[in-house]
Amino acid sequence: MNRSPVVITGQGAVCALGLGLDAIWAELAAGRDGMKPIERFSTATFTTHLGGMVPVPGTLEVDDAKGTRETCIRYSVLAAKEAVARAKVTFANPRRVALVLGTSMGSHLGGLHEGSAEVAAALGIEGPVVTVSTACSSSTNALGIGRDLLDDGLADVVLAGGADVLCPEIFAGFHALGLLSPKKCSPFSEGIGTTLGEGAGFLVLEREADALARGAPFVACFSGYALSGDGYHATSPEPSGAGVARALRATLDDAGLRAEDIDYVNAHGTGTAANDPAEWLAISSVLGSRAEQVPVSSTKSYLAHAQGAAGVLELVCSLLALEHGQVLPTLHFTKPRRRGPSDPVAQTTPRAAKVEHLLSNNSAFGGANAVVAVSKRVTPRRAPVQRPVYVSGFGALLPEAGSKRLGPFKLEALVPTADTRGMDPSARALTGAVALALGDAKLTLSGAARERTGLFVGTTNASPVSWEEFRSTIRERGLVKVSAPAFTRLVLNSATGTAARLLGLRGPTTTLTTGVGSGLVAAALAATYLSSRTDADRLVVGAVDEVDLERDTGRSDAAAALVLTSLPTEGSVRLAGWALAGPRALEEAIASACGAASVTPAREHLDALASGSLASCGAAFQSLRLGAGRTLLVDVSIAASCAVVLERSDA
Amino acid sequence: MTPVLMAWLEHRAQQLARVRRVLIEDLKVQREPDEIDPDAPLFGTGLGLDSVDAVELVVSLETEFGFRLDDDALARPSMRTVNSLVDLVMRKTGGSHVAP
Repeated sequence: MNRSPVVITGQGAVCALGLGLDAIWAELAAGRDGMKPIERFSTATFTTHLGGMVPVPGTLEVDDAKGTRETCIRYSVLAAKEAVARAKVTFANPRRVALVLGTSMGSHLGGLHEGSAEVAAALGIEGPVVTVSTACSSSTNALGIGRDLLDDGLADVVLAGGADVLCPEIFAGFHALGLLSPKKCSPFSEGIGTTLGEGAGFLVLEREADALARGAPFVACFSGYALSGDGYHATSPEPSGAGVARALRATLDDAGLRAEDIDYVNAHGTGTAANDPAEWLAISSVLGSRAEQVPVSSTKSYLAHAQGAAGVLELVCSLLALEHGQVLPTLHFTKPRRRGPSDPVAQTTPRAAKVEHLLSNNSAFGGANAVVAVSKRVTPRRAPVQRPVYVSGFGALLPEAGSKRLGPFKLEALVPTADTRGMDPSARALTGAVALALGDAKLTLSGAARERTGLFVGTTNASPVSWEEFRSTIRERGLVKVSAPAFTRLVLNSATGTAARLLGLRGPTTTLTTGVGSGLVAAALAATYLSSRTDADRLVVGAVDEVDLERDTGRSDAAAALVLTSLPTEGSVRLAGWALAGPRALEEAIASACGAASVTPAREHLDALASGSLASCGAAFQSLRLGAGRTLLVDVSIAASCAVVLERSDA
Repeated sequence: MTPVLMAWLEHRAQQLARVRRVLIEDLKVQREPDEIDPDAPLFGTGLGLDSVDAVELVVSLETEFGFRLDDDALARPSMRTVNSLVDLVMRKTGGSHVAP
């Protein structure tokens, strides 16, 4: 495993403040926000009319599904091209360039991974394309996964970031949840509620040695990141901030930094009554007395809440301020709320400040938290951790032969404590499969073990049943009375959040898609996370497919889960090698995975070769439990190729 | 018992049945109608509804009964239990929520 520091060599953004870094910095420096009455669609029937829309007049048709996706792609390509230009990087070997795109719902229809593949094609990227979708922490999470791809040697250049578009359905969903402020949002200040926005931002990440070798510009050092799960509620954070605190602590550990080293925190700071106090509790519990001295501000007071793109855009803004020796204020601040930052930088323009290291946090629906640490100078990595990864349990729910639909099953029989109210079929199936896998691994989790057990999920779409429920409330009651519970289930990580909550998994969590084979990709990325750090002992990998049979007749429903652990158990099977590569580079993925497992990728060295759904991965695991051998699992989608080697050598 | 009182009781029982149906069909409460205790709190430990469901409850009641609730309806004591919801429905649909 490569442990070179990872550096940011370029960045690009489009957001409510403008197109490109120069335009954005001009607004930031002047203390001008980008929130205005929305003109792109009618907000007449709503109680608020503000949005942080990208100022591209007259070109955006966003109220039909195709338009939303194309707008998202357009924003992404603009921002990504700026990042590439600023990094002065040419893709000498496009297969060694990866794209990790975080998005919540802006390009939902038609498959998130398809939109990302189009962005990759427009940029000339031919390496792996991973789409991370953990609602409002999507792009922060994507930055971390991008770093991991560099560490694993699966790419030499990574474009990581995210994009989302504000469309009427999303506006209506947040409105129905009662989260929108009638005035411009001002996190941590009186005047509760958030303002929604949109945009795209991307960073170019490279290993320091590569960046130095080509004389690349230096923006900042990407020092560390971490993920955590609240396992608490569909939309609200754990009120004590314990989930965010775990991600903050693990980020400091990953970056080799102490609380005293942190000079600035860019908070998620949405402005809602649920987020802001919980987040401050988390920051103050982790930074201790340092929290009293450190400025903590929310860039949402400038950009509004750019959903899945929020994290990367807020980091880009923080880095622009860093470059100018400043930190950004929280605008529109009138009167502090209880349980808010000691220093929210309540002023109207940026403040001069000496910052060496900063933290940037984002939280999300489904309880998915992500934090990154960034440093002004290259900081050495902490001593590498390299732990083996074993598979210790498997569970699956599959349709009966001849059927494409998962039959009815009693989730209450598997999870007696579950309140299954309002669960859609995806959430039920994923929770069932994960419960079966935990049972198969003979795990009963309690206390701290729950905090060290996470959930990584690969899936392709949110539940069609929930989509139909959401759309039917629009048809029957109108946008302004859209169903809030159905809306919360439209994010790709909704089933993940529900499974984590019902089964008490509070460790690192993510949800991603590459199309078919997403489950295997989730297994590979979980293996990287688990093997290279110490904030989790186990990661359950899940996959769920709930197919819209009217639109997609080729596939069938399925849910599967594998328990990965760094703690060997008797007769456990090793996940000996794993790799991702571009969609037309399966042979490279196989060679890398076999190389990592110290096997020659020739037939005589492999006992079996299987297509890499998570269910077939589970079947291979079951057969390896019975005797020694090696199985290579592979899968290819339009976004990525993936290969995984399972091995048992001690039987 | 007077015929007026009997008619009132029967009407109230019907409205309770409709409120229970709203809770089961629209709010997805996982219980049989007669398992929903009329005195159960709607939120928290009772029926387990939460902030996400609050607006949905208002919209569902408005759709089912055809009346309009004020924007501050959620903060009212009438949103406390199943019975208090039935009283609200009785009041808003014209009948007295107090027995004659």
